[in-house]
Amino acid sequence: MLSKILNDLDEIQAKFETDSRDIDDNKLLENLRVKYLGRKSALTDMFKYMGQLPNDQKPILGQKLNVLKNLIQDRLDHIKQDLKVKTQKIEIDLSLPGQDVFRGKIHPIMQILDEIKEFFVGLGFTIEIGREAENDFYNFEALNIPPDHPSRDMQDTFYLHNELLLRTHTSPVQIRTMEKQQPPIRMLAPGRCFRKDTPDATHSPMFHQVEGLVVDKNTSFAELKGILLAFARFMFGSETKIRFRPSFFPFTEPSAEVDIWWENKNTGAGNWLEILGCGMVDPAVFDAVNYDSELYSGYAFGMGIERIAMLKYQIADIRVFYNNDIRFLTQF
Amino acid sequence: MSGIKFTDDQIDYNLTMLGLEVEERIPTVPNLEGVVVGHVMETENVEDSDHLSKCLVDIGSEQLQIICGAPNIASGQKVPVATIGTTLPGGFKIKKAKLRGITSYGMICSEKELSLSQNADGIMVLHDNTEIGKAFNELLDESDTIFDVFITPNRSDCMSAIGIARELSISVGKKMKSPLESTPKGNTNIVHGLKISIENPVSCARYSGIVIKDVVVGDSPEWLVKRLGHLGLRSISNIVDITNLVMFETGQPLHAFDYNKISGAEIIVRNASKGEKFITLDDQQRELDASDLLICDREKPVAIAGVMGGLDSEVTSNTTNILLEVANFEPTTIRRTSSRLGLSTDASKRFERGVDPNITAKVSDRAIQLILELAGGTVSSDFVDVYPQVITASIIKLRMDRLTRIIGEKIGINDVVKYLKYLECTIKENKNSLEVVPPTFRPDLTREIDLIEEIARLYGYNEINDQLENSISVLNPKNEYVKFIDNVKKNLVTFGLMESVTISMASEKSCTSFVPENFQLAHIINPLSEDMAVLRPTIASTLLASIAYNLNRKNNDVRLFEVGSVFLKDGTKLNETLQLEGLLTGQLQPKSWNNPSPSKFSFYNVKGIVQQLLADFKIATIEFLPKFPKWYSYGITLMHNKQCVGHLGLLSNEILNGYDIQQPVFAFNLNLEVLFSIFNGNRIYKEISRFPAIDRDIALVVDKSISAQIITDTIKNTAGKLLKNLLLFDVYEGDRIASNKKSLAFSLIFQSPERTLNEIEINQLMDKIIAAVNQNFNAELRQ
Repeated sequence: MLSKILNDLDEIQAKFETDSRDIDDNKLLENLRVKYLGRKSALTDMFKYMGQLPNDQKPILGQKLNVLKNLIQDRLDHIKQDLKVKTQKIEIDLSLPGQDVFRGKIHPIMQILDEIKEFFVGLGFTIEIGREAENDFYNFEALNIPPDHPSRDMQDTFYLHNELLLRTHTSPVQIRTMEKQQPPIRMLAPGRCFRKDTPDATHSPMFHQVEGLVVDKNTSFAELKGILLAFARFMFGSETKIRFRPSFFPFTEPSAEVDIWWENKNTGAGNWLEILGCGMVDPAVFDAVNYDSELYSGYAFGMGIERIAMLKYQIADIRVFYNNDIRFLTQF
Repeated sequence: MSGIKFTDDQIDYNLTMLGLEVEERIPTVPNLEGVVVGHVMETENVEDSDHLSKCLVDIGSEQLQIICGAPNIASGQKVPVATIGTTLPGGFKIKKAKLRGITSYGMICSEKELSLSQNADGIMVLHDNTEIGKAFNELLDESDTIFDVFITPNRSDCMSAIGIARELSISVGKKMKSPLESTPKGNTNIVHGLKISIENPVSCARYSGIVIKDVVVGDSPEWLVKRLGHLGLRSISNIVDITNLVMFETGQPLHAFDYNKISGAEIIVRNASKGEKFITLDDQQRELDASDLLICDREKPVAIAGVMGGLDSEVTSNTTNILLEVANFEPTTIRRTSSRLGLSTDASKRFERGVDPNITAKVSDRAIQLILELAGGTVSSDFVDVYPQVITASIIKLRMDRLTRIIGEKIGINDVVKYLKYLECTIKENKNSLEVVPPTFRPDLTREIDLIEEIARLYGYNEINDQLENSISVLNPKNEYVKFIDNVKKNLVTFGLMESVTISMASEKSCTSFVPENFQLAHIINPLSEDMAVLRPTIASTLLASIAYNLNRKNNDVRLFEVGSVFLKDGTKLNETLQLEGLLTGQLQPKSWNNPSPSKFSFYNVKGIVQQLLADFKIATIEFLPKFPKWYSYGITLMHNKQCVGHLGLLSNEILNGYDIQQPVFAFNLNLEVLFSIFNGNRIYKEISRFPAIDRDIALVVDKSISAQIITDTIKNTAGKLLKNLLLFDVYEGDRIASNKKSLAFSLIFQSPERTLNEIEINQLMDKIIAAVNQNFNAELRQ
């Protein structure tokens, strides 16, 4: 008989464990109390067996009954306390606005540059920085742009004196890097460039370029294509389409311009937009740095960082980058 | 050229994909859909207006009320009416409009508004019997398309219609049939013929001339005027127009002289003498150099070779006899002259890129035929063609394995031969290579790599498979300097500063005050404007403009920094230095309901930022000296050994006034190259002590003249290693102490990494500290 009673008590306890979950208001709590500790509860009912058991078994049942009753009482108290905390009235006004914080920002041009760097550094490229005031030799002659060559017209140049100019592209860094080391080379050169363009929505006399150069024994145009497609997809999304168009740069041959297929998200209309120039390093450039163009080949590419930032952020006027209006800078 | 039809889209795409980028497509006739012929039924003046008329216009389907401002409007006229909803060529959209309270349902247009001409004097009036309601488009010629093609400097052959046609033929795998066939038939019956001699055959490889007499110089026929108009050229006279047209057709510049002004029936091609003067046909006197090439008659110059003819020998309406020049000049000679004189012409642009020396005679014939047709006359001299050394192209060896290596995949030899034949090359096939002679109209093809590019171009860049096998490499170490700069920038961002970029060129006026003694500004020889005449000597000189830009737009709390090069001249030497500059102004924190008047930036905030930056990069060896450059009101200089690392302080009012800035701006400036040379990038963890710390506060009263720095240093030196942290938490001057004194309150925290300190030893240490400052600086404990 005792073992059956103890068994019943275990069942009551198990049932209580289940019932006491998810009590979230005082009414439910009262019902729970009545069900388990009330005068007509199953537990109270069990006390009647105290009179029916042999004396040696009475303390066993008595202890068990008390433990269970206390356990239930403790639990009910605990729930009651929880409910009290939850429904307590809060005295501070939580609807007041949070306090502003002055935020620091990296300039959007540099954020784009950081993204470009991330891709190429991951492929083992080293970042190189050059000088903005450059010699004619590094900016032009060593890049197969001799004096009196029509391709000098492609870049209107600011001069500091006859031999010294403001670099018109980051390409001089190619020459400086090749002069100081032997192949293999993988370098990425970001920086400011200058061209005598009157400022308007798409031109600035100063802008940023990033230049890449790879020189090794087995580089090819096919590899250049592969790397730039991977890059375009890294920058603009995995579905990005690009195309290569023949073009001309004095320091690369074959030369190409790369267009990206750009769709207007609202209208769905698309067009090809030029994003970078590239090509296989012209043997004349290798001659200028005493590399053996029979042994080595290489490729180079360059792009305007502002242009990419304007595409990605849908900025129509390049001049907004250089005003540094904090309402502009905080958006990125 | 005949036989192949292309749609506009095909032309656009095929040319672009061959490297001849179509930049714009312009219709020769505007699309004027929505414009109809209207009949003006009535007009009346609008009240209160001296120029507006209210018109009733019949457009066939309905009658419209239109307000018109043109002075020549009159009832009975037939006029072009742009109906509501029409978009005119300039992008202007016609809407219902109200003028002086009267609604206008459309617009009566001028020729300019319809893009038919530049004529904007009143509305266009159509012929009386034009059908009412007819769509205006039906009255216009059939439209053609002008392709504006960007020609890269290497492709001189494409600066002509024939060159473009040749490329288009190639794009569909056909060889172009050249329209230039025959050579001129001179008239050999003349006994005293034209004489031509070339003194400098390097600069002038070929010179041909022929005389046509009894021409009638007059207006060009309409087709010629229109065609030149499409090329962006103004019609001048039939003779001049023909030379221009043939140049655009063939790429070969031509020049017609008034033969009666050519003295001695003789042409001599020679170099100018230095200082020789000549008036070109734009009526400008040009001073020449010995490197300039001149076309002369027996007595005097008559043209600057390949650039521009002379005023004296110009073809005018009185001209009856002409000498037609078709010649070949060397690119560098022409380019030097053209760029030195600042005189770039359609002729010079072609010569400086290279013109085929072997089309001279054929081009001459084409022009002669047109002249005889349009201006009459008779050929009256022999065709005198001086060509001392016939120019041929050299043989280029093309190795098939080299081609494969550069492209990255194999292109079959049959395809290679096919492409080179399209290009009109002569080819001899060997086992693994080709011997190729390019045509003389492609002076850009001189090396094996030039042919490889052509083959890739015709094969199609987009047909070459992308490869990535070799693209991953771990050969190079990272650039520590770049990493350092990036980390410094990130650090400043965590302090709430915003990175900025400004143009590194500025006006001399804004930069002069920032030039330290013994240095000079770096001037640009050919600046874009006075606003960008010099390179900035400090970042502040350009970044302050951004501060002003923000303040002018009520962004009153601005914290900017920039990393960039600055330039100073030291005599003839130009120093370019990479610097970091920060400018801070306004409030330290945003205004808020629980902080309604936040404190403003002070010197100590800026100093704090710099100190934190130095601490983060473990640069401990910097001294702060009480010196500052002249553009500060006050400030300090950061020194490492004897090298200046930078400075910080409050910018002077004089400087700020120059930018119209009315509130204090604090600056800090750091030389990144020096900073990088002394920073320590190592990060080694120092264990944090498990033992309890003991803290003590003291207030010391000292003379005002004693610097806080020296007291701090003395405390640190006396306390030794157990002093974990020293904080100056209060500075007091005022009634409660003597007037020449100040009180400095310090909080000291002592801790050992090895053991628990006891009170007694700390008390002894404190006594020692107090004794030291007392002895050295007469400091007393504040009671």
